[in-house]
Order: sequence, then structure tokens, then C-alpha cells
Amino acid sequence: MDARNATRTDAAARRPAPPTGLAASLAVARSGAGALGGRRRLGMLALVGLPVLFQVVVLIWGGGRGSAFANFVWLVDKIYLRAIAPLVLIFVGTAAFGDEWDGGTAPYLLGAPIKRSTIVLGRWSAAVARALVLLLPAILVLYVLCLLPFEGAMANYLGELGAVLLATTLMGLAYGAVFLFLGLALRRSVMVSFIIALVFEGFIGSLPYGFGVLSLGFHARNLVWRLTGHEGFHPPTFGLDVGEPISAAASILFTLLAGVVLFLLLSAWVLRRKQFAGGAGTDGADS
Amino acid sequence: MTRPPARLRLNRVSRWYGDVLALDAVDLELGPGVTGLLGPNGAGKSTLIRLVVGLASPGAGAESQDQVAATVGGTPGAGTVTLDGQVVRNNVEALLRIGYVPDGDGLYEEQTARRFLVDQSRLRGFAPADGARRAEEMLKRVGLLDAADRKAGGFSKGMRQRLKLAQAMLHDPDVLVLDEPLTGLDPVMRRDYIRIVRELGDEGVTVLVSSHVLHEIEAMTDGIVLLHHGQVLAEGTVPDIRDLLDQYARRIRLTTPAPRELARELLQHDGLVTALELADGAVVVETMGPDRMCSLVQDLAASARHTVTTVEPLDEDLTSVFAYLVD
Repeated sequence: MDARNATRTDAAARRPAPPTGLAASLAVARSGAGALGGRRRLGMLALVGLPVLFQVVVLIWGGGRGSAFANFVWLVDKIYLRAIAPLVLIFVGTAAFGDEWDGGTAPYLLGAPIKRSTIVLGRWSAAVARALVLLLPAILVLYVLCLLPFEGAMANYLGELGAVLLATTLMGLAYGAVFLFLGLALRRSVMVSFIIALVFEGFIGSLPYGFGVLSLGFHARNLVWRLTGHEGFHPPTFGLDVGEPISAAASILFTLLAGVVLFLLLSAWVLRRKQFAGGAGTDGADS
Repeated sequence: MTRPPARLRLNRVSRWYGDVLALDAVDLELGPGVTGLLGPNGAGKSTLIRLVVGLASPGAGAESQDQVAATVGGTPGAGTVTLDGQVVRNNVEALLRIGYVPDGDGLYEEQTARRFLVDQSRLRGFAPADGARRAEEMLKRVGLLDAADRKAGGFSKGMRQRLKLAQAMLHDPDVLVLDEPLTGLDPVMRRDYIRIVRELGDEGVTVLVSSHVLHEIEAMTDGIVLLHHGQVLAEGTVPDIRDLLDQYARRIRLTTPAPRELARELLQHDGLVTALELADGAVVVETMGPDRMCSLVQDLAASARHTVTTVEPLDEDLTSVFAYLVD
């Protein structure tokens, strides 16, 4: 028994301390990252690359017609910020934990000696990074393609481009938190997320001022408009005299970041209470 | 920092699934060495194990507080699971000392075995270089070094079980919890797996291994806990349990080309056979003296008076054991 005691004492001494802070978040972000199947990666790539492909076709066969900064604005506003970005973030956000429940790998993550809030933070940052690594280059390429026919034009709209990239990043952070929370809290999270994206982004976000504040996309587009003053990002008025749209850039920024913090805190709360008990005919997680 | 060997304690632990009581005020204390958790399917083994590793909370799942109170004799709450006095759930320090092999096939299908283990080592606080070295050691220990760079999606059931064991051992845990680990292993893999579990027990690791097959557990340990309908039915060594069984008649199937003749012979031995049944090409006997019965069959076979091709105990599976003990 003494020999046993010595063996276990040695083992305890050799064992590293539990990871904390950034190291823990990075470890969580990395875990399972290589598990995303090739077909799913290809699907996301195709979705994000579709407008780029469209613009290539316009460039080759359109002889420069339809290539202008206005086109870039239209594609970013109507296609990327309203549709593709939410879709990609639904995909990566709900999968951040959903895949663990479905694949039976949750015990490896939840059994790790890491605080649940750190696990949430790690998985959220991984999901957002996975989305942005596709979205930002696509928008950048689109910018180049739209302005390629016009000599020297690319340098004229760099401020607008920066604002668009910033808004997309902020939108990614916020939507990543929302969809990660839904993936944790709901069994049919993908369906609910689609409905939320459709209702809030497709409908409410397009209503005149007042209603739009309920849409994250509205805030993101509003931020671009506030920063650049480009009319293409001006919130719709439907001919109504509704006064100035909400707030300055700083308060939009605050709204988006507050949304991120709120949903991350909710996610950590849900994960801390999550029961992975199986039994009674189920083998997954139950709340 | 040094720590003594781990003592795991379940104190009146209950767990509900709606109106189904999966664990009913279970009291259990486990120390260094291997302990087998035996029970038929649905006994509550996996539920107990998930409570032990902190994936679920005692008492959760009940539809009302009345259910919880009734379960634990009116005491609020529904028990605790502690490791050396510390509550396990949501406790980073306790989780660092536990390794867990879950049941089921869950692995990251697109990841290689090596990548999986390196990632898992990072989750347990290893630096990248140390994690890679440790992953290599574990792959070697479970015999997966040749398949280290293959994706888990292409692994057989046995390879998956070994990879799961490797991840559980990565951080040299004080407590190792294995949920039905021998499922799907071929005889050679099974032998190696059992050897590793025994070695860990000898090293002073507190090992809890579940199974619904008695001989699997018997190969790993003498100490067993019998779980049935969410309650600890018996606790002790395999001989203790066998003593319990000896109070009941045992059934043995004897395969022979001449069942009637063999049956006639067996019935001539007073008190040996308590019941007999003829089957196609076999005799199923019920006896209070299984050892005496086996000797007799050996004698008959040796004397060439009867041909007995197989002797098969029909009571080795746990469902029969539990049927005896419960009835």
C-alpha cells in the first residue's frame, strides 16, 4: 500500500495544473476543430463564395457593366449582411456544442478540468473565427472584383471597406453568441435560429426606424452608414418622415458588444446547469 | 503538490428521469484498486457513472421536489458525489484527477487518433510538446501507435475503445471510470485491455468499471458492486456473490447426440438434479451442486459411456444472477 501511495503521489506531482485563461480558451477552441467534415466545410465555402463567383461572371461576360462600388455595397448589404453572414453563423454557432451532443463527444469537453464559462468562451471564439475566416476574405475579394475595371478606384473606398469589415466582424461576434446560446439551450436550435434570422433580419431589420433596433444586422449596417455616410447602407424609411435613425457609432458598438456579453453569460449559465445524464431511453444531454 | 490515493464517495445519491427513479439513495465508497459495477441493462450503471464524473447532478431530473424528498427520506437535496471530500461537479480540481471512458462510440470522426489525444492533453493543461509526448506514450500503451495518424472515423469498435482509454489515461488520473469498456473488443484486445486495467489498479488508481457481464468483471477484479433498479443490491467480492448464488439452483446445458440416455444416467444420482429438460441435441439440467455435476459429466465423458460435446452454464449472464438475487 505504501508503494501504491508513492505511485499516486508521484502521479499527482507530475500532473500539470488545470488550464486557465487564454491557454484554456485556446485549448477549447482547438478541441474538435479538425472534426468539421470536408463536405460541411465545402458547403460553407460555396455559400460564402457564391456572390464572388457571380461577380467574376459579371466581370468576364459583362464587360465591366455592373461593376462599381454601388454593386459592392448592394452585394454586401443585401446578400452578405442580411443573408450569408447570418446563415454561416447559424451553422457554426449552433454546431459549436450541438455537434458534441449529436456525436457523443460532449464528455471529452465537459469532463475537462476547465470552467464552463471558459469552455463557452473558447467555443464561441472558435465559431466566430471559423465564420470570419470565410466571410472577410470573400468581402475583400468582392471589393477588388467590383472595382477592378476602374483604374485607381480601389484606393478611393478603403474607409468604406474598413467599415464593412468592422461591421461584419462585430455582427459575427454578436450572432456567434446568439446562435451558440440557442445551440446550447434548445434541442431544435438550427430551425429556431433560421426563424430568428428570417424574422429579425429579413423582416424586422428592414422596417423603418424603431423596429430595426431588434435586429443585429440593422445595427451592423447602421454602423457602416454612420462611419462612412454611404447612402447604400442608409436604413429604409419607406418614404416616411421618421427622423434620424438611432444613435451614434459608439452606442451601436456598445449595443452589439452588450449583446455579445449577455448571450455569452447566458450560455455559460446554461452549460453550467447542463445535465449529460442519458438513461431513460436517451443518451444525450438533457437540461 | 502531493495527494493521497483517491477516495470517491457517493452519499445517498438519487437521480430521476421524469417520474422514473434511475438511482435510489445510493451509498458507495470506493478506494484504490479496481471495483466492478455490475448490473443488467437499465440498472442505472451509466447514470451512476455520469454522476461520478460530474456530467450530471444528483437529484436533477425530478419532476417535483416531493419526489426528491421522498427518495432521500425527507432530506432536502438528493445526495452528493465527492472525491476526497470535494464535490466533483463543476469542480476543476476534482475533474483534473478523473479520467473517463464513456460508453457509446463517440469520437471526433474527422480527427486522427494523435490529434485527438494532443487536443485532449491540452484540455488537461499539458504544454504542446509535453502533450504530444504524452499522446505518443498513450498510443503505445494501448497498441494504437501504428494507427496514430489515421482518422477515428475509420477505426473499428475495438480501436475506438482503446483510443478512449488512451484519452482517459493521458493525465495519469487518480480515478479512472470506465463505462462498458470491453464492448466490441476481440479476445486479444480484451486480454490486453484487462491487463492494463489491472495494472492501473495495482498502481493505486481508483478504477470503477461497469459491465453487465460477470466474467468480464471477474477477469479484472474481485471487488464488485451489484446495481439493480437503481439500488445497490450487493457489495463484496466475486466469491461473496457466488456464495449468494450457491443458495439457488444453477442451470447447465449439456450438448450430446443422445440426450435421453444422458438424462436417464443423470437422474440415477440422487439429489443431484432438481429439474431436467430435454432439448434438441441437449439436456438442460438444474442442480444445487454445479461442481458435483461437472465432475460427473467429466467422468461420464471419460468412461466413454456418453458423449458430451459442450457444457454450458446458463446462469453466467447477469440477468440470471439478478433474477436469483431479486426473487
